[in-house]
Amino acid sequence: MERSDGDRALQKQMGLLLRTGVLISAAIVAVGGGLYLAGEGASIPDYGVFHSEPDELRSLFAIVESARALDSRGLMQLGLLVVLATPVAGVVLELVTFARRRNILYVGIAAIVLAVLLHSLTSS
Amino acid sequence: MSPSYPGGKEVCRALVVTILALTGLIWTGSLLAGFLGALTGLGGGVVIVPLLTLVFGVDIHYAIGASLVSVAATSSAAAAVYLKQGFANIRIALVLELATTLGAVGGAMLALQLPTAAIAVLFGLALLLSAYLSARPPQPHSETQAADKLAGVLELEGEYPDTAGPQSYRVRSVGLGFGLMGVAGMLSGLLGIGSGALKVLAMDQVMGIPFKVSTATSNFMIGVTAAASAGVYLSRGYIDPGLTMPVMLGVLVGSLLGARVFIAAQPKLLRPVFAGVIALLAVQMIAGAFGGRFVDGAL
Repeated sequence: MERSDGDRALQKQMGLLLRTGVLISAAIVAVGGGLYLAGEGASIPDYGVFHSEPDELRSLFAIVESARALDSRGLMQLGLLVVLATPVAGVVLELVTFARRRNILYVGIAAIVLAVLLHSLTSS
Repeated sequence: MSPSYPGGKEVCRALVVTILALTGLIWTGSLLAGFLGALTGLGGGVVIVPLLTLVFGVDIHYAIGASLVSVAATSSAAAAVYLKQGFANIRIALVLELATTLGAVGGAMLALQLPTAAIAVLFGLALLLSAYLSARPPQPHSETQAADKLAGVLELEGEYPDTAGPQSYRVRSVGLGFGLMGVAGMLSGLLGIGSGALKVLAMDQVMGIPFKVSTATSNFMIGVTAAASAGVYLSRGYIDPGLTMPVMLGVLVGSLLGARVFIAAQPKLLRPVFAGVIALLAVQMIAGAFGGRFVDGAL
């Protein structure tokens, strides 16, 4: 049956995408974490009171900038961003796949889900 | 400005716990949570927030942010395995994600408005529900049924691999399932949990989807749901990389280990024990809220 074959291929691509995304994310977080502990491991933590994170750890572009400067907290935050972006990339894959199959209904559904995700992730 | 959990802060000061030591402790605790969560099939996310707030004295906002990201990482890793094996149904996931993502964004917005004590109480109640759902005996699954008209239009039916060859299934009550997913998404955004228990309940019991497909599809949806609310948390500064790093890496490693042991042997006793631990944490969260443990800090 053509449909279930197509779905099976999508499942396999999606599985590969998720695994790759999580691995890359964990690697970046681990490297950033190593640098962070080497630099600030001896300081006293302060997580008891909430005071919002600084601007460079809150928006997409600022996080990328601070990671490029090899700031340890920026690197860890970039890794966390990758793990959040991974499922979003999955929805993009679904959108493209259903568009190729000319399945208008599912292209529409994927587009709405993607819009909600992108709005949430970039509204900062 | 009042500390959110004064006791915790004093303990930290008295012992002079450094970032290195605290990171090691949080990593170990998260590893254990991920391991038990995967081993019992309940997910480790649900104990992360109580662990961070009650044991380590972390502010509940930071705890929810760290938990959300970790839950997204773990579920995506688990979903990758299920997808490869052919259990997760991508169409069902996509349709239901309409409900979970909108619910999640709503829940995250609500979390920013609610006093922390109220979040702690809601968390306790969600923990109790999840302990109850996991402790009760498996419910009989009514197999057949007139397929839902909406399910037909959306082509939700599918099949999954089994030792006896591919098994096909149909889907019913799409409307009710969709509504429950909106609630699951909202709880996820509000409390930083995956809401896996509620998602599986909605698919398995309400929509009549086979248990394995429900579990696989739930894991697949959790990442998308968490990403929707995590964006809100990130932009408001609730995601601290130094704190989230050991939580995410710990839960991830723990759940991968747990999944291996789970495949080898399904321990019967562990499930009620872990459900008991969850119930105990629930009582602690609620008692803590009424005991003034969760006070709004400087925002």
